[in-house]
Formats: sequence, structure tokens, C-alpha cells
Amino acid sequence: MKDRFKGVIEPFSNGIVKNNPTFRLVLGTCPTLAITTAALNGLTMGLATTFVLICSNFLISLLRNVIPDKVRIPAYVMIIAAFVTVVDMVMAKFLPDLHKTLGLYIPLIVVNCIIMARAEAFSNQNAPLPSVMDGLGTGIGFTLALTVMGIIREFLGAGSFFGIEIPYLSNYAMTIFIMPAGAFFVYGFLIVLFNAAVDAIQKKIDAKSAGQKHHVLHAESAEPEAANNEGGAE
Amino acid sequence: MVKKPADKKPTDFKKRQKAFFKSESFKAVAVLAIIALVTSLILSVVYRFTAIDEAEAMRKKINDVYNAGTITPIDVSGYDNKADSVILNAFMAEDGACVVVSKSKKAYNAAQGITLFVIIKDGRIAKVANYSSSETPGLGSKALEGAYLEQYVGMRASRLASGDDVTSPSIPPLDIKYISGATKSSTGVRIAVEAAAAFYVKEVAQ
Repeated sequence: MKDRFKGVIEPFSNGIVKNNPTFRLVLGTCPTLAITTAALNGLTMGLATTFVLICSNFLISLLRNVIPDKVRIPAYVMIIAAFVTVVDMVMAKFLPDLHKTLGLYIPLIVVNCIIMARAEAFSNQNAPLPSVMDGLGTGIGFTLALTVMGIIREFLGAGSFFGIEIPYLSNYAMTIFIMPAGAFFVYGFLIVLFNAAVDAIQKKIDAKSAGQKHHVLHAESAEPEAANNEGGAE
Repeated sequence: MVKKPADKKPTDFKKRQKAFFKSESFKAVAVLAIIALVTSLILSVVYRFTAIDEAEAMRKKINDVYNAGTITPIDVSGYDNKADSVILNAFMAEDGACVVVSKSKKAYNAAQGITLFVIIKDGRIAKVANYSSSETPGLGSKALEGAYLEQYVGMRASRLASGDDVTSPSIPPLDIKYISGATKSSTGVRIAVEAAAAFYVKEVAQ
């Protein structure tokens, strides 16, 4: 029961931190650099990708035993393209301004390597529920990364937060941050920061578990000694 | 007893047919065809609910920008557009104002361009508003805000139509401000407004 629960939760948490597609795996770099000029753009792009990830992971996992191995890539592309078209049509109808701003990057979700990578590496070999959790985790990881990048670039480059102008700050905005050079600068900085933080946490966890192991081993080796001592006393 | 060759052929054909249906190639094609069919069905259902009536959407936007009442379309198909611009649509409002939907091909995001609503009444610019554009937020986008577009209000359409081509010393040059750092966006706005003014002078005022 515990293993089953772990099998569902682990893919979710891995997608956000351990295998974060943007900061750890450096996948989907093109939309990350291009559309994070504003926080709202990053958030919307992330949510659109999350929807496609969840739906495509679910369907690919459901059909994993039906799709012949030889044609799995064209089949995945067709499934992903269908969901991307759904997102494109819904956004054009209900969020026309954002749809125009994101422009070509919405149809380009089809060729986003994060989606293809998750289809090929995870949902192709796992049951629907863990695949959905993997899609959700990876999607949230991607959305968080794009939103954080968008917030930083918009704040420094335009002096606003989610489109709301911050008084005084907008007069001192550093335009370079909303230009392509600024995108690379912020991206590099966040990769360093994220990886340093994750590695530090991982080291702490490893040290803790190693300490526990050592304690258990020590206790195990101490037991026969104590028994010998007791025997000696007798 | 000797078998007739005619009896042998159908059995062979049936065997081959059976083998074909069991083959990997057939399965692959069938699976791809079924996936394509199902996805097409899903997309056609989604399209039914998300199809956009462009003309209606534009009318709605015009009414948001300018209380025009009932608007009558003006035929723009035969109009000879100015360089770097396209007149997408034009409407005549109930109060005599002309609403021109003018697009400049020059912009920071040249693929999207800058499309503006330019409302001209009694030969003067009454209002300029952004219809669609994708300029850099916080920089180029400032050229599409009301505060910047306001500078065109009150200008004569005939003067704007001729732009900087006028060389007579008695006519003062156009006083149009550009946003520093957003020259491309500011130029795009100017091109769209001047194109709308030229259309008005040529097609509506005459």
C-alpha cells in the first residue's frame, strides 16, 4: 500500500524539484527564454503546457499496449498535437489578447521536448494514474519556473508585477531584463540558484540517512559485544 | 484426383488476406488511422464551441472603444494602401464618425504588426486606440497606451495624410513625439494613424 502511494506521489514531486524540466533538465528552453517578458505570459504558457502534459500522458499511458512500437512517435505527435490545438482554440476564443501575445509559441508546444520526453520516458511504461501525476508535477515545475522568470524580468525590466505598475520603480526599470540578453542572464542565475539549493538539501538528506544507517550498524555491532560481555561476566 | 487450379487461387488469396490483417504493418496503420479519426472528432466538437465570428468580435471591440451605435461597413477592397500599411476594415458610425481599422507592418514585433482603431470625425482625429499588437511589455507597449495615443487627437486628417512629405515653409511640421527606446513601436503607431487618415481623405471625405 505504502509502495503504491509512493509510486503515485514520487513522480509528482520529482517533476517539481528533482527533475524540474527548466532548471534541472534544461528542457523547453525556447519558450522559457522567449515568452517570459511578463509574469502573466509565463504563467499562461506554463498552464497551457501543463494541460497538454496531463492529457497526453494519460492517453499515451492508456494506449501504451495498443500502439505498435514502430509507430509510437507519430502516434504521440498526433495525440499531443490534438491537445495543443484544443488549447489554441480555447485560448483564441476566451483569452484573445494573451493568445495574440503568446502567438506562435502555443502551436509550438507540439514540439516541446518536455512533453515528448515524458511520453517516451514515463507514460509509455507506466499506468495512467502515475502518468497523470508525472504530467501534473512536470507541468507545475515548468509553470513555476516560467512564472518566477517572468516575475523577475517584468519587475526589473518594466517595473511592474503581473501588469500592475509599481509607482516610482517603473521610472528606473532596466530594459535589458525584458530583452533577449536579460532572459539568458536571469535564466543562468536561476539555474545556479536552484541547483545549489537542491544539491544542498540533497546533501543534508543524504547525511541524515547515512547517520541513521551508521547508528543502526553501530547498534547492531554493539549488541553481540554486549552479549559477549554478559557471557564473560557469567 | 487432380485439383483444378481455379480451386487453389481463392484459398491462397484468403490466406494472404488473413496474414495481411494479422501483420504488424496493418496494425500500425489501423492504430494511426483510429487515433487520427478520434482526435479529429474531438477537435471538430471543440471547434463548434470555440469558433470565432471575426466581424462580430470587431464590432464589439469598436463599441468598447467608441460608442458608435449602429455601424455600416465601408468597402476597402479596392483601396490602394500606403507603404508599410494595410487598411483592414472601415465603418461609418451613426454620428458621422469614420472608424478605420489600420495596420502598420512596421513594429518591434513585425510578424504581428500594430493594428489600431482610428476614429475620424469632421476631418479631425477623434480617438486612437490599440486593437491588436504584441510590443514589448513596459517599453513598446507604452506607445499603445491612451496617454501616448492622445497626442493625435484633434489633428487634421488631411495634414496627417500627407505626413512629412509637405515641404512648404508656411505649413509647420507635424509635432509627433516618439518614446525613447521604443522608436520602432512609435513609428508603427504613426504609420497606422497616417494610413487611416489617408484612407479617410481619399475614400470618405471626397
